[in-house]
Amino acid sequence: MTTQGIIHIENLTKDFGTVRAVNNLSLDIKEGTTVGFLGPNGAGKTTTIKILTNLIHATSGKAYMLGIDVTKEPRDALTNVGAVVETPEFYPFLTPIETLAYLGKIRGMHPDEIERRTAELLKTVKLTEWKDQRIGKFSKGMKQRLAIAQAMLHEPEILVLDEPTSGLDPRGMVEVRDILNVLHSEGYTIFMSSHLLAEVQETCNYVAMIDYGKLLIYDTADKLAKMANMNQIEIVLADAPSKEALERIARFKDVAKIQQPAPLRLYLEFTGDPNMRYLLLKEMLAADMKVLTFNPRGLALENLYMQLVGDSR
Amino acid sequence: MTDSGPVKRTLPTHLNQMLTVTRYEMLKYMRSRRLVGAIAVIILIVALIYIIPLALNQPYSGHVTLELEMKPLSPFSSYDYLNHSYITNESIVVSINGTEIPRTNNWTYSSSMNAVVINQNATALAGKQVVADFDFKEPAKNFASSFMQFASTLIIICIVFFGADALVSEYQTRTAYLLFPNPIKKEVMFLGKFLASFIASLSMVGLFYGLIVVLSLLSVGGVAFYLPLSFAFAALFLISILAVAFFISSIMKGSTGAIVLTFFLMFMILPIVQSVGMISGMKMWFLVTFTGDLASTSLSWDHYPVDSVETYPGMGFTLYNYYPDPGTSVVVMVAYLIVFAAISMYLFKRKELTG
Repeated sequence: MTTQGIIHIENLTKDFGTVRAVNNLSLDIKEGTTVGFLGPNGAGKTTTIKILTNLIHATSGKAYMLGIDVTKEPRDALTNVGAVVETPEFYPFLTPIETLAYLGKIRGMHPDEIERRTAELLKTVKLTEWKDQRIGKFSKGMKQRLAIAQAMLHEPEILVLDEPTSGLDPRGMVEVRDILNVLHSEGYTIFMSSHLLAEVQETCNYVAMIDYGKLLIYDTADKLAKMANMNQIEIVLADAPSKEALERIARFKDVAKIQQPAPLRLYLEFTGDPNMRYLLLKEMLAADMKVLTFNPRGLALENLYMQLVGDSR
Repeated sequence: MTDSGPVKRTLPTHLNQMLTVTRYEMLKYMRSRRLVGAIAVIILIVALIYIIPLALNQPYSGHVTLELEMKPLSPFSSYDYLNHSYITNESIVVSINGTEIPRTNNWTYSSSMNAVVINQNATALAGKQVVADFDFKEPAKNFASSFMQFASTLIIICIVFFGADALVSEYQTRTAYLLFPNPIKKEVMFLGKFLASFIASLSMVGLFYGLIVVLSLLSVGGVAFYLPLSFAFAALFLISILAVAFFISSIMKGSTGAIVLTFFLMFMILPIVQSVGMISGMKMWFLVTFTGDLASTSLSWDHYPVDSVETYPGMGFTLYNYYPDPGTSVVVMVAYLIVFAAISMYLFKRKELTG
């Protein structure tokens, strides 16, 4: 037990009838890390999070939170866990203050502490002005911000977040990412699922990818970025290239394929090293192509995701 | 943001958590339209039962001055009916031609005939104005009984308002995603909700009984002796059908379905089965809705009604009048409470949030 991470998933399986949503999943998350949990729709991300938060029961396997098996002792396991699963709804007749007081009391907080944390968190999620309004009037974005606030209310050691920026406008998303980065720096362990690869790349130092309920890869975000096969180059031109110029580039060593999705845009499948990439740029200029930009295409994580998920689907 | 980062916590006791759930469930009820609706229904029912007799010129108490037309009863006496119920014997005053006649040796009140009998020949009184003044007052038990016929109906309405969707609404409205990931046992959550539904419903029933007490004091100057006993049986009936409502709430997928099924089960399906028993001669002592009549019949605890059979030879059928046996009914209600609460708690615990 002592070598286990703060979240430890062991051979976790969940069947819905004949469908296996989570398939023998094992994952060990160290204390203080922020783990992005990636996968396409139906990969088993939310199912895994629901098992971790006692919303559904595992068919087999174990899931430890702080060393306590949540499948057997959910109350003790969730004592120091804050969670946002999907977009929760709130009781429409209660205000944010009353809602946080309700949850704080269940979690064993002292009334003075609830009052202090409520003021802090409502300020953090920019809902102070709405603290006495009934939540029934709130927009989806406001509810999502309140959901994040309630997860952090009791200063839990673990935060489990299922698509935490879902429903937020771009500014709200940036604000939540900033909050997550601060929480990470304060030592919280964060396990979050997301569809937004840029968000994961920005906020997480570990990434786990799953598909068909199976873990595809789990490592540090830096290592995974290095593993990503960045072999596609995106080129934006000032003028449309001639047919001759395109044929000349197609004949260049290490160019496997040329795509022209728009008259002034080219995607090159290129397997060469950085030196060959420099020579390729020189060749394009020599072919009288007016190159405006010449960059690897997409995010490292996105490329890796597409490779892994593409292979498994 | 935090000053010190994560904090290790110690959880409150199960009892504290249960009472927290109860408190906030009550807060939800108090702010919902259901509470207003339930109060409105109770006031409407009580008002209708109270006002209709008055509107039909049948007051619960009062004073009557009645001119009598004396008829011969014997060569030495005459009588006339008072044509009113619940007369206070001591209040009767008889006067002839405006002069009050002492009761002793002059006249009597026959309760069996509900008439004044004057010890004078009818012929001797001919042409004289004979007047009887008296007070009447409906007995408190009768007053309460007219309301109690609707007690079980009202209790069922309260259950539909406050219990039918108490569990399923957490899933349908997705508030379960907020509440369930907390460190609290589902059983504790269930008991907190059950207690809140019981308190909310019992408060409404208490309001019903309270209104009856106030109106009874105002109208007939007293309260039925066994009204507290009736309230105790009403509370037991309430908690037993609340368990049934929670069971329905634990198996249904939507609030509307749970409310409709509870409503029809309590108001139509079980009463129909009960009615069949009245015709076929089978006492449906095991039906929880049958035991609900105890709230009404217990008002006559000292002269508890007994089962009877009415035959209608010309019509070709027999009608059986059954009354719930108190002892058996208490056992039945407790059994419903234990069995349905246990099953619904188990189902609530096992139910997954898969939507």
